[in-house]
Amino acid sequence: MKVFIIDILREYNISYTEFINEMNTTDLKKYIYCKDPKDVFLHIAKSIAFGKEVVLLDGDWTITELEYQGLDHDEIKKVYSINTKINDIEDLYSKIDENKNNWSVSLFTSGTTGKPKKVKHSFASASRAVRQSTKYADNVWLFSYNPTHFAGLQVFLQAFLNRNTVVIGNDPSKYNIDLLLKNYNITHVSATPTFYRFILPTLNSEYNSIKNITLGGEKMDENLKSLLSKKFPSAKVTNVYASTEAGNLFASDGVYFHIEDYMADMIKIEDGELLIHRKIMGEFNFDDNKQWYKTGDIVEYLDGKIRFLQRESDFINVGGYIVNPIEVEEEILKIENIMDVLVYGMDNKILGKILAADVVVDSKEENINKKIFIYLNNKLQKWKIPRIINIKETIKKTNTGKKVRKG
Amino acid sequence: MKNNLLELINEILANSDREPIRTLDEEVSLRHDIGFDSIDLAVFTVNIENIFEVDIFETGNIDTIKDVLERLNK
Repeated sequence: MKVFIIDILREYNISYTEFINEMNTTDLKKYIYCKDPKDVFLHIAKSIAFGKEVVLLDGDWTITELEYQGLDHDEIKKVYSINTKINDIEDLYSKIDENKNNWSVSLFTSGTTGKPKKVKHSFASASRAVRQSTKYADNVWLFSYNPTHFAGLQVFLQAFLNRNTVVIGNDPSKYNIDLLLKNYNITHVSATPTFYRFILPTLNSEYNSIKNITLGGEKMDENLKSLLSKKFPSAKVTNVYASTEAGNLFASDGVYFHIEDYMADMIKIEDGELLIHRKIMGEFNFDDNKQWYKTGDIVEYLDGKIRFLQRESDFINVGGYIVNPIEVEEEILKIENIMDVLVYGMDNKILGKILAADVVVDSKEENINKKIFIYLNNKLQKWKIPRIINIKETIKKTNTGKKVRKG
Repeated sequence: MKNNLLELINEILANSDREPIRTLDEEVSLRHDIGFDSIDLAVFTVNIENIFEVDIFETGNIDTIKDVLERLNK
């Protein structure tokens, strides 16, 4: 029996047959809100097989974060009533072929006005970069991403649609990645630069099974690419550009991203900024009259290739996780004796950006750092918590009252 | 210097309600033994840089306390 998922921390190996049996005995959730990646995969797989619309929620969102996304407690408990069973693995993939075009998946991402937005992808847009072939049948994936984020969905679809084995390793401080790479003959790793920077000093073996290393979610630096090439000499190292709104768009083996022919009419550059045509975007609350979506990425174009220079955005990429500073500021302002706050990103060698906050506090407040950490630990995911706190007299604002974010 | 490191590590552990450590063995791994994740490591580097004015991750190859001390003594 082909093994589908291996999770050494949760102590299971689950075969495709066992996975199907569990699908048959589990009600399909409309809102996929689970901590175990296997449960997330199970609901995604079942929703595709039966062509149902689902929404992905981070399994570690607190009640505060669910409310911030505008989600109702009762609504997220809803399940679909499905009475049909899946007979076996062939039946599963035949149902997927039959119903995949009725399927959709929605993910949440930061909205430009401070409120989050829901982006809906069809099977076609979610699987645009997925390649299916018998030549991929023996691939073994290290699963490093959050399973409810777009990159995690990509790796899941690529592995699942090719009937591959997936080895869970999405928290490198808890999973021993060195052992996983060696013991399970992993062939493919897709992760953020932060993930690779974190694991590289702990990798002391030869990893000959690895054929592909993919980086995504953050800007790659040439030094990291060179370290990866040395550590995995037989692997092809690729950088991908994707976003929750647009899906997977470009790939590169260096700093220049090649534009596929079909993409040529779907992108344009205006004042240096990369724009994407709505035809290839997921669906979200986007002005009906607008055909082009502004990515906020400043790029350079050269002979059919583009190079990313910088991001013009208030959002902060902390180790591949996009943080909306307004969400964090709103939460910090609820803390007693905090009069004003500014959240911003500071350059950091490990995370790319580390979250920092300038706070204006009431004069009688003594231990504000500790108070902020304790309060936010119960309210926000860990990468949304500012780690560097500076006490300030005032927060600088523009003439129109907008906070000036630096970093 | 080792005591400074112990203090910095315990401050990071305390901020997320984790148990402090009492002693610091040079062979201890920041990732596997102390349980630092990438955010903890990032904070650790910023705080070390603030105190010692050394970027310990300049070469990217830091895992044990011994690695940190070697970088600081260079």
